[in-house]
Amino acid sequence: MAPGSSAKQRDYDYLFKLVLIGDSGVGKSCLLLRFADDAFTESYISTIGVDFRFRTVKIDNKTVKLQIWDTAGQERFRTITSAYYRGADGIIMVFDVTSMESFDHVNDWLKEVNRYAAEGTVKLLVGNKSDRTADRVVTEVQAKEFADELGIPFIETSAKSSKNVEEAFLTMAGELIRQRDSRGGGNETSGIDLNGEKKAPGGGCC
Amino acid sequence: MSLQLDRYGFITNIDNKGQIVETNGVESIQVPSFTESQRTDRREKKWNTTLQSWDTSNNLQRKQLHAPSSNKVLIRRLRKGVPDSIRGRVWTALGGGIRTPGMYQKIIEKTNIIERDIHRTYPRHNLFYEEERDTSPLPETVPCGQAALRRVLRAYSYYDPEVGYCQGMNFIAGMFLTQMNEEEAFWLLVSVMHDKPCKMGGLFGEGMRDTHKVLFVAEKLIHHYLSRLARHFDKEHVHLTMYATQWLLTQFTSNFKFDLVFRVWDAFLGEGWKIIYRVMLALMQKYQSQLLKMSFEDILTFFRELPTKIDGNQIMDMALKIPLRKKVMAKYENEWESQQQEQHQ
Repeated sequence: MAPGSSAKQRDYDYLFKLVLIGDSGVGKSCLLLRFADDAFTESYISTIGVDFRFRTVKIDNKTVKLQIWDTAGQERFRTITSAYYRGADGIIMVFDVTSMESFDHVNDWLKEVNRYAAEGTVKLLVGNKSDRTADRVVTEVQAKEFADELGIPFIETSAKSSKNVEEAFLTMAGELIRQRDSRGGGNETSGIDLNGEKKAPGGGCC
Repeated sequence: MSLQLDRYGFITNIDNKGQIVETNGVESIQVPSFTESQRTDRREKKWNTTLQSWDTSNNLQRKQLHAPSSNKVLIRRLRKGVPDSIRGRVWTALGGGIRTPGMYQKIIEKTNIIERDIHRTYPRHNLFYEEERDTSPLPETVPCGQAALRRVLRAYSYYDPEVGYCQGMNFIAGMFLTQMNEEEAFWLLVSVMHDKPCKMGGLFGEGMRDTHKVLFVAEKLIHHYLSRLARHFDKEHVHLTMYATQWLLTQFTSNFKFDLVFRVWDAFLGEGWKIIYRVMLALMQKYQSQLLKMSFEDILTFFRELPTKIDGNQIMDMALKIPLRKKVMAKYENEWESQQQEQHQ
């Protein structure tokens, strides 16, 4: 039996580890707060290091547990946060539709992901703050085209209004279920392996 | 009311008080004479040719200007005046163009990173609280603490470009601002970053080298003083960076209540890192029996909610009783240093 889940009865059919990455201030923590607690606050503090939340959802009668890591956005923190994408099943790259800079940086984030994450890691591009129509500088078409080129699904969200937040995480979960089923089950360790080197797809920990 | 502009973009229908005035819609447009526009066309063409030759010859224009033999023609043409339509390009080229592509964006990004943390620092403290955060607040509606914090952090990033700005510093500077004026806060920040016993610059600088060191030492200390708990965390795959990065990087300022924060900092300013480790160990020791029964998710949820649960004075009293020895700290610090050296060889 996998370490960490020894004595306990498994209360889920699938367990997925997700990581939220993207520039500082794009709303990663707010997306997670909305998804985990269905709440929004204007008085949020900057995330230092990493933060963790989980939620269990039902998809096609299956119980899916999502363990989600929120990360600090500033480049310097990558020496700490990159260990988290190494063990992730899915990576959600977030930008802010009112900040061209954050959209331009998606490419840099993608490079980071490709460098550290396992090959089969599922990716999703999220454009957050879609409620701020007057300040928008990245169009939905533009972001969609970019995502299509990369072959990554794209969704626009608003953590504030809650629009599409549920959909974003469920899209990711659905994708992961499809992938795991086609691969035939496997890796169900609770937590995240921060020590392992870049994993080959399907490769477990020690 | 519509604006009327001269050829340079200045508004012509504006009075001495700065008010726009009605002008019956009659505009006097100066139409250049035929010979004038022909001359301009000719000059544009010449300049275009020159610019093209410059573009391909990589910074040659600067050398040309300073080489006495070849600059006479150029100076004569500059004296005649550069056509409006092409002036920007000519000046840019004379200046050597964009010498380091991307550098300007990098500088802007730095101030943007500070900006994004200004309203995310103690938003529930009277000094920083904003009633309704507008998407683009007018300067006068920004709480005075936010403006001061912005100035302190920007000033620091200019003063010490090696550290610049790193997330986490916002809480330390913000906490200082609740106790002193901004000039004093700036110099205290300079001191804690550079001087003993705090010496925090390495925590925040590029690569965050000392953050990794502190995390290493902290992990070892937990194994040393709370070995049962450490083994339980290992088994549950709970790693120190999952809950303690913010404790150690910001010395508890980012999410703990100020009853603890001030007591920690009273001691930290006097004796440095030892107290930070002590408080970390006290927090874990106090809840050890509960934590030992918890699994991965519960442990992390517990730690997330911990800052609101504790009594700062009680934790401090416990912390001061932990028999942490300088020798033990030094041992692990040395262990880390030698590990780093091995990796670099």
